[in-house]
Amino acid sequence: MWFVIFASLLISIPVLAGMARSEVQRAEADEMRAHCEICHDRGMIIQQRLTPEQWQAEVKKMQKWGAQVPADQEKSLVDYLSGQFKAGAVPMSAPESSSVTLFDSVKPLADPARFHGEARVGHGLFTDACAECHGVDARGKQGSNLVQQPILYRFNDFQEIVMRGRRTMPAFSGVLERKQLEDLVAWLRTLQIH
Amino acid sequence: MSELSLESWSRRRFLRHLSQSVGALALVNAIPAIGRAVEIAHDHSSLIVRLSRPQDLETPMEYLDSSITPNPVFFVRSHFGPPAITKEKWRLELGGLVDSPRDLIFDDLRKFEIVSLPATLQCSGNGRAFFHPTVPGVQWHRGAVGNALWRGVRLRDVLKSIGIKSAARHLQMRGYDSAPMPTTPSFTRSIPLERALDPSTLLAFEMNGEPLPLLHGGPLRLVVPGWAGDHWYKWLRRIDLQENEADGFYMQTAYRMPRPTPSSNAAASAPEIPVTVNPVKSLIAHPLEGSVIPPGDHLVSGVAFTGVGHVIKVEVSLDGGRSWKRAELEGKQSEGAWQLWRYRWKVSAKGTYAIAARATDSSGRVQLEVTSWNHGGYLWNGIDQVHCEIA
Repeated sequence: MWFVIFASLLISIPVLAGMARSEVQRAEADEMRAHCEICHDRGMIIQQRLTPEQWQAEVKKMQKWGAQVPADQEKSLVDYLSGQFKAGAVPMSAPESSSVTLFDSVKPLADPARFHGEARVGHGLFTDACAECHGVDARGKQGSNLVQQPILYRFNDFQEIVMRGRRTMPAFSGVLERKQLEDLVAWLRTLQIH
Repeated sequence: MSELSLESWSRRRFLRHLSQSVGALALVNAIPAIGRAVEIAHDHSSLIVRLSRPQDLETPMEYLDSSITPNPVFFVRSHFGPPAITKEKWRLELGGLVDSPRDLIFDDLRKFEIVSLPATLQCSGNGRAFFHPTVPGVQWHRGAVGNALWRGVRLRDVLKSIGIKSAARHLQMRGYDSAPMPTTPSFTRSIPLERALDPSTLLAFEMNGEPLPLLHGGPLRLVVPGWAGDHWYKWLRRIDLQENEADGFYMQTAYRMPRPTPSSNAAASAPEIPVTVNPVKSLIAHPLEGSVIPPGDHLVSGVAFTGVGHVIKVEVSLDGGRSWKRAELEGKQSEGAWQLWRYRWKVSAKGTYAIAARATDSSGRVQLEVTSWNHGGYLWNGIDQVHCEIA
């Protein structure tokens, strides 16, 4: 994060000193919120109106629950949250999705034609490409739990996310091929909540 | 209204004018079903998105004036996202302090007597946004509540079929949903055996005549009429009978609040108890907050419910709580389900009106101005109030 701020300052100072500050703040806010938005959307933050003490307690709770906030960022995150989302703050932005999209996005869809994932192959691929973030058993690490998730039964959405990346997840379009995504899905579907 | 897009807000404002003009009012009174059908669309688009991941969706107030809340506009509360689970693969594991542990498949449920009952489901955090000082959590306003016809089997019958051992005191529930990270506590909770054996406590697989929708806990959820939603466990996977309450964050930290009357013997009692029985509450569906309506005859209407017994009285104030008039309660009473109420309001003087409603139940409980503050923001039942302009 400090590199980002430093780089932004270097680029911006000679040109538009006034804009640099807000861009830096935006980059900083985006990066900090990314720690939170792995598990829930920004609406969870934006709707709160809390004191610094309450925000500190929330951040501590979420760190315990798995939020990967580096120790040196914790104070600036709490400062940012308490500065923005305090008593009297005005509502900021609309939610991520409409309610219609939300209902549609959890419905299982038929697999595309000629879908033939092999679970055994998928397990190996997962270990190599995904386990570092999602955990060797796919139950989440800094990336989220994938076991029995509706996305596993919506192949096109799964493909879109893996190939293009989403939020903190990188794009795998140059790494994985379509058939390998089918293998991954086939293995992930064998896992069950226990 | 800030959560809504301008487009949907305009549409709703238009419908509000339509439904509250004198002509439309007459239509509603004469043929309510047709009147409603032409006024508001019953699709998911009306729900207010408090949170999209996980799904926390609130019912707009204009829907809270019918005895049944249609499934597409019924509020949704999720701790984690819904699981991928189908009836075919679904199993309910029953174990712990029982004589014969077993797994049920979906069709096994039909071997028990099937019952239907109407019941009001309210999120224990409904109204959290009204607490001062503010508390963290989903900032529900007034619509995290609905009334549905639930169909399923009595939990009591299922428990009797496996034999309850005498040491059992609580039932711990586990679901098919799972936390996003292994370090995040699972959403597991427990319910006292006594409440599980109450004949109104159901394992429900239908909601308003449809298979229980996924976002409402399908294939199977618990229905606990009179108790707040934290007990209406969704996506049931396993029930264990045991001596003690469930451990973990969602039972021992969340969904607890101070005792209603502080115990004088602090050493002998836990400082906080689980959130259970819904307090008495009435909500105003019409007029809508901020509406502008012409002088004339209007209906002030809404719903009222209570956790134990029945609502016996709803009073309406048209002057911000200085004087109260009795509203008419409609329909028959059914414990655990809400009742509709309405008040015919003749108004000629232009101006802004603060309309309030308060309910009283058969135990003598009455809605007060504000609800005692608690750190989780649970069980708000302050007197409901809307403002409208006669112009």
